[in-house]
Amino acid sequence: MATFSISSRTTPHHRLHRFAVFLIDSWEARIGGVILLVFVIMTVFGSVLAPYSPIEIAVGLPNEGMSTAHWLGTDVLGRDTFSRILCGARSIIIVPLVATMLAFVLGGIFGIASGYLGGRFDAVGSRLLEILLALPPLLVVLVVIASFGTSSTVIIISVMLVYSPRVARVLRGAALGVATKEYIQAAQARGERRLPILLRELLPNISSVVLVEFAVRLTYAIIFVATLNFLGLGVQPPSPNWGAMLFESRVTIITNPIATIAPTIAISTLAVAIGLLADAASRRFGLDDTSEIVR
Amino acid sequence: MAGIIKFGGSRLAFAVITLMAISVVTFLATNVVPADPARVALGKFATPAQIEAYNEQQGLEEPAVKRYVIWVGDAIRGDWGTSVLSKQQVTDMVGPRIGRSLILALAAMLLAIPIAFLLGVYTAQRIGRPSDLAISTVTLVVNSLPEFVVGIALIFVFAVQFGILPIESSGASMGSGISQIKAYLLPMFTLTIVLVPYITRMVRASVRDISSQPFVRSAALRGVPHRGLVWRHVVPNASLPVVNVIALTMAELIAGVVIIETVFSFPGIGQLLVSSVGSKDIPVVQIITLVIGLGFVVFNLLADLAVLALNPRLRSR
Repeated sequence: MATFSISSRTTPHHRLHRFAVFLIDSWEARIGGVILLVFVIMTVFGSVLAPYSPIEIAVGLPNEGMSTAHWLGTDVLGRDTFSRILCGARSIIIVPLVATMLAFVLGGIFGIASGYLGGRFDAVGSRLLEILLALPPLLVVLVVIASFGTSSTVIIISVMLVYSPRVARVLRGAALGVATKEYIQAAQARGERRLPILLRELLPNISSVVLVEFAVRLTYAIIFVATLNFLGLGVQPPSPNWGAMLFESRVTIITNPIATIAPTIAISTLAVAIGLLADAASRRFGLDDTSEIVR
Repeated sequence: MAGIIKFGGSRLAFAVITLMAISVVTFLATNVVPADPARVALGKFATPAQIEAYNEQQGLEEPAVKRYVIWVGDAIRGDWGTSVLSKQQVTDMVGPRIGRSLILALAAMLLAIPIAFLLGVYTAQRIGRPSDLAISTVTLVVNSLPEFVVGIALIFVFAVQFGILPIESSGASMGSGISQIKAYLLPMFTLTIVLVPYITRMVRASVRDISSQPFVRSAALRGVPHRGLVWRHVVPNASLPVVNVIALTMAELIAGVVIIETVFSFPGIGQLLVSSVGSKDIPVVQIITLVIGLGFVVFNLLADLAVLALNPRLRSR
């Protein structure tokens, strides 16, 4: 006997299960996941595990090579590179994470409303999005930093502003895709209010798009913020941050290569891990690589 | 013909709107929002009288819209003002750098597009085989890397280990011809490596999609040889979405130029932009933003023209 499912929603259990399958299924997701796990451990326990204080100068001689006392040597000011790498994990993730989440709140509300409501609101909104999307992100952020100076708040807000229209566009498309589905019409016919329909019918059904977009967006945000730090426009010294460490150690690239190599490898590993995860996820959830990826 | 005019007209209008949006954002961020430009210029200890005099002299008491129009007018006429920091004419600072940045960007693009096409077409015909997996994995990994990491890696290999290319590129504006060319090479390769994976992935996906179309199958059944099939039937049709994607990589290219110029101390407008942002030299930042914005819009229009040339349907409609 055939069984018919009348539930249109995926239950939380289902989604968790799908996610678990995704992690085990593809080798990219497995490698990315393991690296990310190491990274999360560093974020949480980094400062506990670090043998020295990350900002204390002259814990060793300046520009020492690798040794048992200083696994990755020391930098120009005699700070322990290994400790700075361990502690730097936290600073590289927090700012992009907050910025991405805020971009999802702002862009998500706008995009979903635009896609669900349609009509004139959507027509005007889409035109506006098109113009905002045409602005080169780095240019906008640099102009904002030039006039407001640099701080975590300025970077979070400017990255949020640049990413919101990108999030809005993707979520608008997703909302538009399900807005005319039967279960939404049924809810409308039942006389449910707009907000409950959006939260209980629409949102759960675009959750995979939201998840993938969040992963992809976070990847770009991490690289973007690390780049700002590398340009000397982000975290100010002495805070340990991989991008800022590169900015500082670049001048000693010949005499003390390990001080540059260590943060380079740290950033690359993280970027590749998230890149692998995002790629596996976007293929798994059917967002194929021809869909325009707008950074 | 009417199709060309309609398509071209709408793209031109969008280009003008984009450029206006860039100028408005730049103006807003640097003029209206920060409370007091006079404080920045005169320092903490300026007296109220001095500030008032400064505001009057700079025309800051005018309404914002009027100031915006004056500012844009000056920029268009080539009156770019003076740097707050060095008191130099912005024209003299920015002018010579534009050409160098343009050469860098164009050279990298000219290098990246053919490489990406070859890799993309090659892998699209071998989907799922080891060679495709290897190339796709490498492009995915490189695609995830930030620009400055690629730059530093190349510095390590070619400047520190082998010592065949200069460690930084400030020599691009002086010295003998050979040393000037050498100064371009590492930034150019870095930019190419950053661009190739992205375009390769698009070409691969596009060629894969076109290959499964009925007209390709019927051409194959007609007995068109494999090579002719790929290069005469598949690639021209697959190029269309790719040109759109290349237009989308423009923002990427701009970011790449700005970051990579900074990595190598290359004397272009990107490096000047970053250092001016750091020193809050607002007039320089404004002008460079407009110049880059203009370049961005022009490149996008060129991509649209390429789409027009590649897609006869747009011409006849």
